[in-house]
Amino acid sequence: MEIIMFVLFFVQNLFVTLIMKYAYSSYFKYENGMVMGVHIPKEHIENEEVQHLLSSTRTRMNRFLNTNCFLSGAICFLVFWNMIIFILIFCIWITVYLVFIQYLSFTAHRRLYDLKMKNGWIVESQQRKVYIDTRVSAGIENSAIPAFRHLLPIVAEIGCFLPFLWYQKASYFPILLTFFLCAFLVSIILWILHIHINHSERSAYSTDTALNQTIHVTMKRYKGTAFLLGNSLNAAAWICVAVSTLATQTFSSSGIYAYSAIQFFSAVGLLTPLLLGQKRKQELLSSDPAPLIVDDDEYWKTGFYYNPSDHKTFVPDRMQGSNYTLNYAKKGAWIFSGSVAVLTVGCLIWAFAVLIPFLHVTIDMKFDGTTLQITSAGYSSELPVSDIRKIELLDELPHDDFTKINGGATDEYLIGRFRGNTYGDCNLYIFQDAAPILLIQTEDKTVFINFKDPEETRNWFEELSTGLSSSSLL
Amino acid sequence: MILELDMGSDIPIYVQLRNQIVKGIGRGELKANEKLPTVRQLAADAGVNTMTVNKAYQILKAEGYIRTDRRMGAFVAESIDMNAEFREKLEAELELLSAEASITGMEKDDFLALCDTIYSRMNPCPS
Repeated sequence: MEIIMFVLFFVQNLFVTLIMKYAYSSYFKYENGMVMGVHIPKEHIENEEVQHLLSSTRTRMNRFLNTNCFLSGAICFLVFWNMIIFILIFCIWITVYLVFIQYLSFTAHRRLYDLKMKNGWIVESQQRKVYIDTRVSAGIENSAIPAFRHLLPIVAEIGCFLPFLWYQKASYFPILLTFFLCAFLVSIILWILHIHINHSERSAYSTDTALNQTIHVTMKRYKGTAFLLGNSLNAAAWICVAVSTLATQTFSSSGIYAYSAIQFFSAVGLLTPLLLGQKRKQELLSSDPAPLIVDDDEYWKTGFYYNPSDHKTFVPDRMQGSNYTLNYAKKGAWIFSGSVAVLTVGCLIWAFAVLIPFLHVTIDMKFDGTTLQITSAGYSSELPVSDIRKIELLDELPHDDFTKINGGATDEYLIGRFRGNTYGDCNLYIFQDAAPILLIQTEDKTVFINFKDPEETRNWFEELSTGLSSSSLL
Repeated sequence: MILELDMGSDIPIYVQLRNQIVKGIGRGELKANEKLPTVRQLAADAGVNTMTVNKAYQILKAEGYIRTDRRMGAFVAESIDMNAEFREKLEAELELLSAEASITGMEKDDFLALCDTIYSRMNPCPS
């Protein structure tokens, strides 16, 4: 388990940090009349203050990115010490990393903008202009990759899930459903993005209409390929898991390995055409002798886009060319951002609240005369004594292929709600290296519990058996 | 052709759109029967209300520069004939321009030479 987690997080973290490094590599290049997201007339780009700001920001950014490339891999080794501490530190690290990288780029952007305004480096003819290429806008040369091709992987995903509707009581069903929903959600998102790209991207980059059309056809093909490739491999990952689970009727770790490996290639398949497309676009734009430049820096001065005259909510991100951002002059942008922020913070708080009790696991059982109360790491069970039908002392946990529904499962303990093939839904409060194990069953609940001290487990068995025998309930 | 809209100008957007399309036809950048963006497409790309674009298109259609089809969208007209109403409008606009030129001291020959230069750039194209 630790090895799987280490590999997954190590690859993912490396991916994220390397992509960020690549994305910000063009931040300091003077392209399309802009550098660091600010329009600077060509004759002022060699200005001493500008060069100093570029140089110092570049140094700071590179130092931050390189340090985090190293940190992203280093923190993964915590998995082998304590999984819970690793997850908590990972949550903190990724949050700080994303917030700080935005802070670095936005503050530098604002300093350059202020420098521009202080020096009056504004070209009036470039302000408050909108350019439309009528041939591009009319979609005269529309050879984008059709978005309906996403239907094939989506239908295949659904088709591979349908047989499991007859296996809803299987122990693996909850986790399988989670995998399906994640794959399906990714497919739908990529399909929607593809439709949007095919219909919405019609910017005018140049006075040369042929160049504008070439750029749009090229970008639509690269992006369409990226979304289709990513979706197809994402579907293949899910289908692989579904077929192996259906064939073996177990959700095995080899299934997770295969899923992870294919999803890695899905990410590569998605990102590679996007990055190549962006590079090709820059090549085409750099060859343009008459670029159309619109100086709308006033709408980007905070680093966030705020333009009350623009009716669009989602706009291309000036800071990262192939990304999209929000127009915060629109109410919808605040609702969307607010919802995502609340969800993210909520998930983080929930993760902390759920995981912190697992830092030091203890199992407590109390009997108040009528009810048996079991608590451990935030999970609990209450068993009225009058409902207990069976108490048994087992040498080991039955081999029932218990799958976790909710709780913690490590080599050290099994705490929470689990599902077994024979026992169905049950609660486990088990230290894995301790024996014996106490089985308590009521009409509708099954609990497996033990304590680190085997004598304590036996004492509880004796006490409960004696107490229940005397009340003639067993 | 490239339409250029000045969002800071006092000239209404629909007038800018109308004028730009007419100039485009005159210069040959928009050919006869060439497809124009739909009202929705142009409004989305310009970042303006569809009613603004619709107004511009209605004016162009009334003046005979474009034709519209409910299913296919808008197209540059095949041919645009000078009629009496159009000539009257042209005379009125020329009169205004001539008045402005003479008031500012421009000589008649200079004014006519300027008209000639600008007219020479026009090259309306058949399809």
